[in-house]
Amino acid sequence: MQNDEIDSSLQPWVDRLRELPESDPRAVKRVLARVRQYDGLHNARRRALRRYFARQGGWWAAAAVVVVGAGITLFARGAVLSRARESATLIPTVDSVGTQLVTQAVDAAGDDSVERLVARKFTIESLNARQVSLVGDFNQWNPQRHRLHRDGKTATWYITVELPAGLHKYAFIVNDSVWTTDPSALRTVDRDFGVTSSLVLVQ
Amino acid sequence: MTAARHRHLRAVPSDRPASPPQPVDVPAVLSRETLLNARDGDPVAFAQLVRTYYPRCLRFAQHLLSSREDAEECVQDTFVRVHRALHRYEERERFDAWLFRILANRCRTARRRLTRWRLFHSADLDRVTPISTSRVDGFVARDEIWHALGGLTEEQREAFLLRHVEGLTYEDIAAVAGIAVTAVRMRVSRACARLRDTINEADAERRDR
Repeated sequence: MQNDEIDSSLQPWVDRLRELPESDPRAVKRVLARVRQYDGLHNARRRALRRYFARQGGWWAAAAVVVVGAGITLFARGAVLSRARESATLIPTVDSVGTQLVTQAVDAAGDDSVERLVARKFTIESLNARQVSLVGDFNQWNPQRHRLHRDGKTATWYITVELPAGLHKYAFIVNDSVWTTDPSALRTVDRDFGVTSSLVLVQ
Repeated sequence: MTAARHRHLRAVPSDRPASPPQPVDVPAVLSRETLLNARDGDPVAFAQLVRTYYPRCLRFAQHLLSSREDAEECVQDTFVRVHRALHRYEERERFDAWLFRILANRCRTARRRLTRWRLFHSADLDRVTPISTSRVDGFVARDEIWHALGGLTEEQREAFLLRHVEGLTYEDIAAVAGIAVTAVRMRVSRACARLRDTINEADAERRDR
Protein backbone atom coordinates (compact mmCIF):
# COMPACT_ATOMS: atom_id res chain seq x y z
CA MET A 1 0.00 0.00 0.00
CA GLN A 2 1.27 3.43 -0.82
CA ASN A 3 1.68 5.96 1.94
CA ASP A 4 -0.87 8.31 0.39
CA GLU A 5 -3.63 5.70 0.32
CA ILE A 6 -6.23 5.30 3.01
CA ASP A 7 -5.65 2.30 5.22
CA SER A 8 -7.95 0.79 7.81
CA SER A 9 -6.74 3.16 10.53
CA LEU A 10 -7.70 6.23 8.53
CA GLN A 11 -10.84 4.84 6.92
CA PRO A 12 -13.26 5.67 9.77
CA TRP A 13 -11.91 9.21 9.92
CA VAL A 14 -12.32 9.69 6.21
CA ASP A 15 -15.83 8.23 6.37
CA ARG A 16 -16.66 10.75 9.06
CA LEU A 17 -15.16 13.57 7.00
CA ARG A 18 -17.24 12.53 4.01
CA GLU A 19 -20.47 13.10 5.85
CA LEU A 20 -22.23 15.97 4.23
CA PRO A 21 -23.31 18.88 6.41
CA GLU A 22 -26.94 19.16 7.31
CA SER A 23 -28.80 20.42 4.31
CA ASP A 24 -30.28 23.85 4.69
CA PRO A 25 -32.65 24.73 1.86
CA ARG A 26 -32.55 28.36 2.91
CA ALA A 27 -28.79 28.43 2.28
CA VAL A 28 -29.28 27.36 -1.33
CA LYS A 29 -32.02 29.98 -1.67
CA ARG A 30 -29.64 32.60 -0.28
CA VAL A 31 -27.02 31.66 -2.84
CA LEU A 32 -29.51 31.91 -5.68
CA ALA A 33 -30.81 35.23 -4.36
CA ARG A 34 -27.28 36.58 -4.27
CA VAL A 35 -26.63 35.42 -7.80
CA ARG A 36 -29.86 37.08 -8.94
CA GLN A 37 -28.87 40.22 -7.06
CA TYR A 38 -25.52 40.24 -8.83
CA ASP A 39 -27.28 39.62 -12.14
CA GLY A 40 -29.66 42.48 -11.44
CA LEU A 41 -26.80 44.85 -10.60
CA HIS A 42 -24.87 43.72 -13.63
CA ASN A 43 -27.82 44.18 -15.93
CA ALA A 44 -28.69 47.54 -14.36
CA ARG A 45 -25.12 48.72 -14.94
CA ARG A 46 -25.29 47.51 -18.53
CA ARG A 47 -28.62 49.25 -19.08
CA ALA A 48 -27.28 52.47 -17.53
CA LEU A 49 -24.27 52.38 -19.83
CA ARG A 50 -26.50 51.76 -22.84
CA ARG A 51 -28.72 54.71 -21.83
CA TYR A 52 -25.67 56.91 -21.34
CA PHE A 53 -24.32 56.07 -24.78
CA ALA A 54 -27.74 56.56 -26.33
CA ARG A 55 -27.98 59.99 -24.70
CA GLN A 56 -24.48 60.91 -25.73
CA GLY A 57 -24.96 59.30 -29.11
CA GLY A 58 -24.81 62.54 -31.13
CA TRP A 59 -21.51 63.59 -29.63
CA TRP A 60 -20.04 60.16 -29.96
CA ALA A 61 -21.09 59.96 -33.61
CA ALA A 62 -19.55 63.39 -34.30
CA ALA A 63 -16.34 62.36 -32.58
CA ALA A 64 -16.28 59.15 -34.58
CA VAL A 65 -16.75 61.08 -37.83
CA VAL A 66 -13.90 63.46 -36.91
CA VAL A 67 -11.58 60.62 -36.02
CA VAL A 68 -12.39 58.64 -39.15
CA GLY A 69 -12.11 61.77 -41.32
CA ALA A 70 -8.72 62.68 -39.84
CA GLY A 71 -7.54 59.14 -40.40
CA ILE A 72 -8.61 59.16 -44.04
CA THR A 73 -6.99 62.57 -44.60
CA LEU A 74 -3.72 61.49 -43.07
CA PHE A 75 -3.76 58.29 -45.05
CA ALA A 76 -4.47 60.07 -48.32
CA ARG A 77 -1.83 62.69 -47.60
CA GLY A 78 0.72 60.01 -46.89
CA ALA A 79 -0.17 58.23 -50.11
CA VAL A 80 0.08 61.45 -52.16
CA LEU A 81 3.39 62.38 -50.58
CA SER A 82 4.89 58.98 -51.18
CA ARG A 83 3.69 59.06 -54.81
CA ALA A 84 5.17 62.55 -55.27
CA ARG A 85 8.47 61.41 -53.77
CA GLU A 86 8.46 58.40 -56.04
CA SER A 87 7.70 60.48 -59.14
CA ALA A 88 10.39 63.03 -58.22
CA THR A 89 13.05 60.39 -58.33
CA LEU A 90 11.70 58.86 -61.48
CA ILE A 91 11.36 61.99 -63.64
CA PRO A 92 14.05 61.38 -66.23
CA THR A 93 14.30 64.47 -68.36
CA VAL A 94 12.57 67.71 -69.02
CA ASP A 95 12.47 66.89 -72.71
CA SER A 96 9.23 65.00 -72.67
CA VAL A 97 7.18 66.21 -69.74
CA GLY A 98 9.37 69.02 -68.49
CA THR A 99 9.53 71.29 -71.48
CA GLN A 100 6.26 72.88 -70.57
CA LEU A 101 7.40 73.04 -66.95
CA VAL A 102 10.58 74.85 -67.87
CA THR A 103 8.67 77.31 -69.98
CA GLN A 104 6.30 77.99 -67.15
CA ALA A 105 9.22 78.44 -64.74
CA VAL A 106 10.93 80.94 -67.00
CA ASP A 107 7.72 82.84 -67.40
CA ALA A 108 7.23 82.84 -63.65
CA ALA A 109 10.75 84.14 -63.04
CA GLY A 110 10.03 87.16 -65.24
CA ASP A 111 12.46 89.36 -67.09
CA ASP A 112 12.66 92.03 -64.41
CA SER A 113 14.15 89.66 -61.84
CA VAL A 114 17.28 88.77 -63.79
CA GLU A 115 19.58 90.91 -61.72
CA ARG A 116 18.34 89.69 -58.33
CA LEU A 117 20.65 87.19 -56.45
CA VAL A 118 19.18 84.49 -54.29
CA ALA A 119 21.14 82.16 -52.02
CA ARG A 120 20.51 78.50 -52.79
CA LYS A 121 21.94 75.52 -50.98
CA PHE A 122 23.01 72.46 -52.98
CA THR A 123 23.54 69.13 -51.27
CA ILE A 124 24.48 65.66 -52.39
CA GLU A 125 25.09 62.39 -50.54
CA SER A 126 28.32 60.66 -51.39
CA LEU A 127 30.08 58.51 -48.88
CA ASN A 128 33.17 57.64 -50.85
CA ALA A 129 33.82 61.03 -52.44
CA ARG A 130 37.06 62.81 -51.67
CA GLN A 131 36.04 65.97 -53.45
CA VAL A 132 32.82 67.29 -55.01
CA SER A 133 32.42 70.33 -57.26
CA LEU A 134 29.31 72.16 -58.38
CA VAL A 135 29.22 73.11 -62.05
CA GLY A 136 26.49 74.95 -63.94
CA ASP A 137 25.63 77.66 -66.32
CA PHE A 138 26.04 80.17 -63.49
CA ASN A 139 29.80 79.38 -63.17
CA GLN A 140 30.46 78.54 -66.80
CA TRP A 141 30.75 74.84 -65.91
CA ASN A 142 34.02 75.48 -64.14
CA PRO A 143 34.68 72.82 -61.44
CA GLN A 144 37.23 75.02 -59.64
CA ARG A 145 34.73 77.77 -58.79
CA HIS A 146 32.42 76.02 -56.31
CA ARG A 147 33.85 73.20 -54.17
CA LEU A 148 31.36 71.49 -51.83
CA HIS A 149 32.08 71.01 -48.12
CA ARG A 150 31.60 67.78 -46.25
CA ASP A 151 29.18 67.91 -43.29
CA GLY A 152 31.40 66.45 -40.56
CA LYS A 153 31.90 62.74 -40.96
CA THR A 154 28.59 62.22 -42.72
CA ALA A 155 28.11 61.53 -46.39
CA THR A 156 26.49 64.90 -47.02
CA TRP A 157 28.30 67.48 -49.14
CA TYR A 158 26.93 70.99 -49.36
CA ILE A 159 27.50 74.49 -50.69
CA THR A 160 25.45 77.67 -50.72
CA VAL A 161 25.65 79.78 -53.89
CA GLU A 162 24.03 83.08 -54.76
CA LEU A 163 22.28 82.73 -58.09
CA PRO A 164 20.44 85.15 -60.26
CA ALA A 165 16.74 84.49 -60.56
CA GLY A 166 15.77 82.19 -63.39
CA LEU A 167 16.17 78.59 -64.40
CA HIS A 168 19.66 77.11 -64.21
CA LYS A 169 21.23 73.87 -65.28
CA TYR A 170 23.79 72.31 -63.00
CA ALA A 171 25.56 69.09 -62.04
CA PHE A 172 28.08 67.75 -59.55
CA ILE A 173 31.53 66.39 -60.39
CA VAL A 174 32.73 63.84 -57.89
CA ASN A 175 36.49 63.35 -57.48
CA ASP A 176 37.06 65.55 -60.52
CA SER A 177 35.93 62.75 -62.77
CA VAL A 178 32.36 61.54 -62.26
CA TRP A 179 29.53 63.66 -63.66
CA THR A 180 26.55 63.31 -61.28
CA THR A 181 23.11 64.86 -61.41
CA ASP A 182 21.17 65.91 -58.35
CA PRO A 183 18.83 63.04 -57.45
CA SER A 184 16.40 65.45 -55.76
CA ALA A 185 15.94 67.74 -58.76
CA LEU A 186 14.48 67.70 -62.21
CA ARG A 187 16.84 66.61 -64.95
CA THR A 188 17.30 67.65 -68.53
CA VAL A 189 19.46 66.54 -71.45
CA ASP A 190 21.60 69.07 -73.19
CA ARG A 191 20.94 68.60 -76.89
CA ASP A 192 24.33 69.95 -77.89
CA PHE A 193 26.59 67.90 -75.68
CA GLY A 194 24.30 64.97 -74.87
CA VAL A 195 24.91 65.05 -71.10
CA THR A 196 22.24 65.11 -68.43
CA SER A 197 22.03 68.04 -66.06
CA SER A 198 19.81 69.01 -63.15
CA LEU A 199 17.49 71.98 -63.13
CA VAL A 200 17.00 74.57 -60.43
CA LEU A 201 14.50 77.39 -60.51
CA VAL A 202 15.51 80.52 -58.61
CA GLN A 203 12.85 83.13 -58.02
CA MET B 1 -5.41 -0.74 11.84
CA THR B 2 -5.79 -2.93 14.80
CA ALA B 3 -9.05 -4.22 16.16
CA ALA B 4 -8.13 -2.79 19.55
CA ARG B 5 -8.02 0.69 18.14
CA HIS B 6 -11.47 0.26 16.63
CA ARG B 7 -12.78 -0.93 19.95
CA HIS B 8 -11.20 2.01 21.66
CA LEU B 9 -12.70 4.48 19.22
CA ARG B 10 -16.07 2.93 19.70
CA ALA B 11 -15.69 3.57 23.40
CA VAL B 12 -16.05 7.34 22.84
CA PRO B 13 -19.26 8.53 24.55
CA SER B 14 -22.07 8.46 22.07
CA ASP B 15 -25.60 9.74 21.81
CA ARG B 16 -26.24 7.70 18.69
CA PRO B 17 -26.41 3.99 18.00
CA ALA B 18 -22.98 2.42 18.11
CA SER B 19 -23.13 0.99 14.62
CA PRO B 20 -20.36 2.23 12.31
CA PRO B 21 -21.69 4.78 9.85
CA GLN B 22 -21.72 3.87 6.23
CA PRO B 23 -19.35 5.94 4.11
CA VAL B 24 -21.27 8.67 2.41
CA ASP B 25 -20.80 8.47 -1.32
CA VAL B 26 -20.03 11.50 -3.37
CA PRO B 27 -23.39 12.91 -4.47
CA ALA B 28 -24.50 12.29 -7.99
CA VAL B 29 -22.84 14.70 -10.35
CA LEU B 30 -24.85 17.02 -12.48
CA SER B 31 -25.95 15.69 -15.85
CA ARG B 32 -24.07 17.04 -18.82
CA GLU B 33 -27.25 18.48 -20.30
CA THR B 34 -28.09 20.44 -17.14
CA LEU B 35 -24.55 21.68 -16.93
CA LEU B 36 -24.60 22.90 -20.54
CA ASN B 37 -27.98 24.54 -19.98
CA ALA B 38 -26.60 26.33 -16.93
CA ARG B 39 -23.64 27.45 -18.96
CA ASP B 40 -26.02 28.84 -21.57
CA GLY B 41 -27.74 30.94 -18.93
CA ASP B 42 -30.69 28.75 -17.94
CA PRO B 43 -31.57 29.85 -14.35
CA VAL B 44 -33.38 26.60 -13.54
CA ALA B 45 -30.34 24.56 -14.55
CA PHE B 46 -28.09 26.84 -12.51
CA ALA B 47 -30.33 26.39 -9.47
CA GLN B 48 -30.05 22.65 -9.96
CA LEU B 49 -26.26 23.02 -10.13
CA VAL B 50 -26.20 24.93 -6.85
CA ARG B 51 -28.43 22.37 -5.15
CA THR B 52 -26.21 19.54 -6.33
CA TYR B 53 -22.86 20.99 -5.37
CA TYR B 54 -23.69 23.19 -2.40
CA PRO B 55 -23.34 20.45 0.27
CA ARG B 56 -19.96 19.29 -1.04
CA CYS B 57 -18.69 22.84 -1.29
CA LEU B 58 -19.86 23.62 2.22
CA ARG B 59 -18.22 20.47 3.56
CA PHE B 60 -14.91 21.36 1.97
CA ALA B 61 -15.02 24.99 3.11
CA GLN B 62 -15.98 24.01 6.65
CA HIS B 63 -13.05 21.63 6.91
CA LEU B 64 -10.69 24.30 5.65
CA LEU B 65 -12.02 27.30 7.55
CA SER B 66 -13.35 25.66 10.71
CA SER B 67 -16.25 28.08 10.88
CA ARG B 68 -19.69 27.43 9.47
CA GLU B 69 -20.44 31.12 8.91
CA ASP B 70 -17.20 31.79 7.06
CA ALA B 71 -17.65 28.62 5.05
CA GLU B 72 -21.17 29.61 3.99
CA GLU B 73 -19.95 33.05 3.00
CA CYS B 74 -17.16 31.52 0.94
CA VAL B 75 -19.48 29.09 -0.79
CA GLN B 76 -21.90 31.90 -1.66
CA ASP B 77 -19.04 33.91 -3.11
CA THR B 78 -17.91 30.88 -5.04
CA PHE B 79 -21.28 30.32 -6.67
CA VAL B 80 -21.56 33.99 -7.62
CA ARG B 81 -18.16 33.67 -9.29
CA VAL B 82 -19.14 30.41 -10.91
CA HIS B 83 -22.24 32.08 -12.29
CA ARG B 84 -20.14 34.92 -13.64
CA ALA B 85 -17.48 32.66 -15.19
CA LEU B 86 -19.56 29.66 -16.23
CA HIS B 87 -19.57 30.68 -19.89
CA ARG B 88 -15.79 30.24 -19.85
CA TYR B 89 -15.97 26.68 -18.53
CA GLU B 90 -14.76 24.15 -21.10
CA GLU B 91 -16.03 20.62 -21.14
CA ARG B 92 -12.60 19.06 -21.40
CA GLU B 93 -12.10 19.80 -17.70
CA ARG B 94 -14.00 18.03 -14.94
CA PHE B 95 -16.62 20.41 -13.65
CA ASP B 96 -16.09 19.62 -9.98
CA ALA B 97 -12.34 20.20 -10.38
CA TRP B 98 -13.09 23.57 -11.96
CA LEU B 99 -15.56 24.41 -9.20
CA PHE B 100 -13.20 23.37 -6.41
CA ARG B 101 -10.43 25.46 -7.91
CA ILE B 102 -12.59 28.57 -7.48
CA LEU B 103 -13.70 27.46 -4.03
CA ALA B 104 -10.16 26.70 -2.86
CA ASN B 105 -9.04 30.14 -3.99
CA ARG B 106 -11.88 31.76 -2.09
CA CYS B 107 -11.07 29.72 1.01
CA ARG B 108 -7.40 30.68 0.88
CA THR B 109 -8.33 34.35 0.60
CA ALA B 110 -10.82 34.06 3.45
CA ARG B 111 -8.29 32.23 5.58
CA ARG B 112 -5.69 34.93 5.06
CA ARG B 113 -8.26 37.57 5.96
CA LEU B 114 -9.31 35.67 9.06
CA THR B 115 -5.72 35.20 10.14
CA ARG B 116 -5.10 38.93 9.88
CA TRP B 117 -8.34 39.67 11.68
CA ARG B 118 -7.44 37.31 14.49
CA LEU B 119 -4.03 38.87 14.89
CA PHE B 120 -5.70 42.16 15.74
CA HIS B 121 -8.54 40.64 17.75
CA SER B 122 -6.67 38.03 19.71
CA ALA B 123 -9.18 38.32 22.53
CA ASP B 124 -11.84 36.95 20.23
CA LEU B 125 -9.74 34.02 19.14
CA ASP B 126 -11.27 31.61 21.60
CA ARG B 127 -14.74 32.53 20.56
CA VAL B 128 -14.21 31.27 17.02
CA THR B 129 -15.89 27.95 17.24
CA PRO B 130 -14.80 25.07 15.09
CA ILE B 131 -17.20 22.69 13.44
CA SER B 132 -19.83 21.56 15.87
CA THR B 133 -18.23 19.49 18.57
CA SER B 134 -21.45 18.49 20.23
CA ARG B 135 -22.24 15.70 17.78
CA VAL B 136 -20.40 12.64 18.87
CA ASP B 137 -21.14 9.27 17.46
CA GLY B 138 -19.99 5.80 18.19
CA PHE B 139 -17.07 5.83 15.84
CA VAL B 140 -15.03 9.02 15.70
CA ALA B 141 -15.90 12.21 17.50
CA ARG B 142 -16.02 15.36 15.46
CA ASP B 143 -13.69 17.24 17.79
CA GLU B 144 -11.12 14.49 17.40
CA ILE B 145 -11.29 14.91 13.65
CA TRP B 146 -11.00 18.64 14.00
CA HIS B 147 -8.00 18.28 16.25
CA ALA B 148 -6.34 15.91 13.78
CA LEU B 149 -7.01 18.19 10.81
CA GLY B 150 -5.68 21.12 12.80
CA GLY B 151 -2.34 19.36 12.97
CA LEU B 152 -1.93 19.55 9.20
CA THR B 153 -0.61 22.49 7.29
CA GLU B 154 -3.11 24.37 5.19
CA GLU B 155 -1.72 22.90 1.97
CA GLN B 156 -1.69 19.37 3.33
CA ARG B 157 -5.23 19.69 4.58
CA GLU B 158 -6.46 21.01 1.25
CA ALA B 159 -4.74 18.26 -0.72
CA PHE B 160 -5.93 15.53 1.66
CA LEU B 161 -9.54 16.71 1.59
CA LEU B 162 -9.62 17.07 -2.17
CA ARG B 163 -8.13 13.63 -2.67
CA HIS B 164 -9.79 11.47 -0.06
CA VAL B 165 -12.97 13.34 0.76
CA GLU B 166 -13.93 15.02 -2.50
CA GLY B 167 -12.51 12.25 -4.67
CA LEU B 168 -10.53 14.37 -7.12
CA THR B 169 -7.64 12.87 -9.07
CA TYR B 170 -4.08 13.96 -8.41
CA GLU B 171 -4.03 15.75 -11.76
CA ASP B 172 -7.16 17.70 -10.83
CA ILE B 173 -5.71 18.63 -7.45
CA ALA B 174 -2.51 19.75 -9.13
CA ALA B 175 -4.62 22.08 -11.29
CA VAL B 176 -6.53 23.33 -8.23
CA ALA B 177 -3.39 24.02 -6.20
CA GLY B 178 -1.26 25.15 -9.13
CA ILE B 179 1.55 22.71 -8.35
CA ALA B 180 3.04 19.55 -9.86
CA VAL B 181 1.38 16.16 -9.44
CA THR B 182 4.37 14.81 -7.53
CA ALA B 183 4.10 17.68 -5.08
CA VAL B 184 0.41 16.86 -4.57
CA ARG B 185 1.27 13.21 -3.91
CA MET B 186 3.85 14.32 -1.39
CA ARG B 187 1.38 16.58 0.40
CA VAL B 188 -1.27 13.87 0.58
CA SER B 189 1.27 11.34 1.75
CA ARG B 190 2.54 13.61 4.51
CA ALA B 191 -1.02 14.45 5.53
CA CYS B 192 -1.86 10.74 5.84
CA ALA B 193 1.27 10.10 7.87
CA ARG B 194 0.52 13.02 10.15
CA LEU B 195 -3.06 11.89 10.68
CA ARG B 196 -1.91 8.37 11.54
CA ASP B 197 0.48 9.81 14.10
CA THR B 198 -2.30 11.90 15.62
CA ILE B 199 -4.58 8.89 15.84
CA ASN B 200 -1.87 6.84 17.47
CA GLU B 201 -1.12 9.57 19.98
CA ALA B 202 -4.82 9.88 20.82
CA ASP B 203 -5.04 6.13 21.30
CA ALA B 204 -2.01 6.11 23.55
CA GLU B 205 -3.47 8.90 25.67
CA ARG B 206 -6.71 7.01 26.11
CA ARG B 207 -4.91 3.86 27.05
CA ASP B 208 -2.94 5.76 29.68
CA ARG B 209 -6.14 7.14 31.14
